[in-house]
Amino acid sequence: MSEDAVWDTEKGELRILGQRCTAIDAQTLCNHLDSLVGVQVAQVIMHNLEFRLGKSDAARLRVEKPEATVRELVEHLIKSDRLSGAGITKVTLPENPENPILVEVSNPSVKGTTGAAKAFLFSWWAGALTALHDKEFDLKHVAYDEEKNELKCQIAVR
Amino acid sequence: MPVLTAEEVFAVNDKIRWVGLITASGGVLVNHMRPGVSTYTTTEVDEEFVTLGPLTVLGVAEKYSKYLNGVEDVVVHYGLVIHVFARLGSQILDVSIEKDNDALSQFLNWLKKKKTELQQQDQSR
Repeated sequence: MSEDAVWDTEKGELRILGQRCTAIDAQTLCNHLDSLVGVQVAQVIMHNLEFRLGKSDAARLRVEKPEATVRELVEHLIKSDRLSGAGITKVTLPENPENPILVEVSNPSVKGTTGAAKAFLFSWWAGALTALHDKEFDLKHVAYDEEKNELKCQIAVR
Repeated sequence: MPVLTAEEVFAVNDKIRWVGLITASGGVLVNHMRPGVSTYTTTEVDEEFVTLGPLTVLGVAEKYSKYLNGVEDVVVHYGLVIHVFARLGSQILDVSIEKDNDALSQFLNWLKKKKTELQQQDQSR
C-alpha cells in the first residue's frame, strides 16, 4: 500500500490508502442528498456509507501494518484525510478508553453539523476507530467553529 | 425499545408475511418472517434492505409533506407481494403482505389506529 496519494495523470487515476478514488465536490453531493431525501435520512445514508468505508480502510491498514500501534495507524489515517483533501485532521485519543475520542478537522472540505455533511467526514472516522479498537463507535457532538473554520466531533463507544 | 412486536402485527391478518422495524437512524429492531412462511429473499438481504430502504422510500415521499399534509404510508405493489412503509412514532415499520387487497385494507386500518394510539401515549407522557 502506498504511503502517499498516487495521482497518475496518464492513466487518469487517483489512489489513496491503496484504493482508487475520484475527486468530487463533496459539499454539493451532501447538499444534494439533503435536498433529495431530507437531512435526517441523508445523514443515515451517508453514515452507512462512510462508516463502512472507514472500517474497511482501517482494517486494510491494520493488515498491512500488523506491528503498528493504534496511534501510528491513526497517524496514517490522518495523513489520508490530508491527501484526499478532506482537511487537516487532529485526533485526540483519551487516556481513559471509556472517554470519547475527539476528532477535529480544520479547513474541512465539507461544512455542516446536520444531514449528510455531519456524517461525511466523521462517520468515516467512527468506522475506522471501530476497526482499530474492535468496539462499535458512533458520533456524539458535532460542532463547527466558523472563526477557526474548524469542524469537531466527539466519537464515543456506542 | 420497539413500539410493537412482530407477533402483534402478524395477528392483524394471516396474509402478513414479514415485519421489519427500524429506528430513525437505521438500527434494525425487528426483522421477522412469519413462522412457517417461506421467504422469497434471505434474512441477510432483508436486514440490508431494512437498514436504508424504508428510510429512503419515506424520505423521498416526504419531500411533498409540507404541501400535501404529511405522508401516511407508502405502498409498493411488487409482482409477488405488497410492501407497506410507514412511520410509527420515532420508528419505521416495513411490512410485507400477500397480494390480497382485503388483507392490505385491514392492515392499513390497523396501522391508522396504531398511529393514533402511539400519538395519545406520547401526549399523555
